[in-house]
Amino acid sequence: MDRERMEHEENEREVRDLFRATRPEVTPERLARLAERAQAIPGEVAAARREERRSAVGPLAVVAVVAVAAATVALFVVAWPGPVSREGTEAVGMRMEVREESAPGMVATAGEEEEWEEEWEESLYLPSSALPWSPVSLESDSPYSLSLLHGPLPGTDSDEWEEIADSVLSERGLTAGDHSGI
Amino acid sequence: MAESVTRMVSEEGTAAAADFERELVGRARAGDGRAFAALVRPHLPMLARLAGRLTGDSAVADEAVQETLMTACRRLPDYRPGSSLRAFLAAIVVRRSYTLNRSEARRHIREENSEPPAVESTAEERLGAARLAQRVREALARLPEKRRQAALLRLEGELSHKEIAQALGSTERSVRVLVHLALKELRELLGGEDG
Repeated sequence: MDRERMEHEENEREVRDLFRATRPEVTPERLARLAERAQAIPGEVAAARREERRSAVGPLAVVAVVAVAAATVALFVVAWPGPVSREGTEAVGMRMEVREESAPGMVATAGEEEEWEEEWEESLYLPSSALPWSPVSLESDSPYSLSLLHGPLPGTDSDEWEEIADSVLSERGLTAGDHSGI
Repeated sequence: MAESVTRMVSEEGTAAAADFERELVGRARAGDGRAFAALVRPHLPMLARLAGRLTGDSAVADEAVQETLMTACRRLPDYRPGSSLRAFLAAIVVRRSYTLNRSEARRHIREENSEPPAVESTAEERLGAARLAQRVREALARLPEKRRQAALLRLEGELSHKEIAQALGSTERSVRVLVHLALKELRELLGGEDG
């Protein structure tokens, strides 16, 4: 055994003796109290975690609501056809195209473009159920293609609708079911 | 042959103890208070002594131990069953005790409300021992932090060098050097006080 190691062991022995002589007393009562406390801790930790999760839900809910609102607004801005424009009328046309399968139609003359465009503009702000007619497609080179529906739209009185349809058709020299104008 | 059988039995015993500890850790993590108490109970005297040595006050020491248990419970997922739970807890109690010690508010409360530290000694020796305990604390306070922690874990916690390395996040070799330097310095600082 070298001298350094002996010195180290002597140091440790002496200091350890000092530590033992001044060792803080730990009574059985104190230990029992600490053990009792230890037993309660996991429950407290679990409760604290639940509380943390609960308190985190509030801000998360606000963030979620804001995110959904922002997404809705963004979607609305992107999908909104906007004021009367080619894109806008195309959007309406696409919406109504579904109904074309059962609808005879007619073609607006080139001179009617402006008039129909105004009506489309108005129609953009009306519920679809209020329209007795619907544009079905919009070609880039015009004329605009229109369609009259065979039956009343939901919420429209059928007699009233037929009257409107007859009147629109007769103005163009057509009858119901006449596809010659297309 | 007999040695190898003894070693096998010992290894099996160690493995069984590790399994049991793993089970207790799992139950404690799930909120089982009795499992957690069973885990930490064998280490409570060591924790109380370490905290008592560092704080010099039994009430503050108990507070440090309780905070240690709370921290240990929260950090149980970090503990690897089979390594040293004693080192895991000792590392926490040393930090918690220092934190409490550094707090001016705690110090104020301690000065006003607490009793002098009790020590294992006869009634006649109590005053002298308390004075000596204070000297030991002062000597410890003069050591560099890591050296002080190593000395405390070795002398008060009675941890092995390997466990101290685990507690301090150091290597066993470094810990041996730290302990050696700490003991040498403590002996010089406390020279003449032990007789």
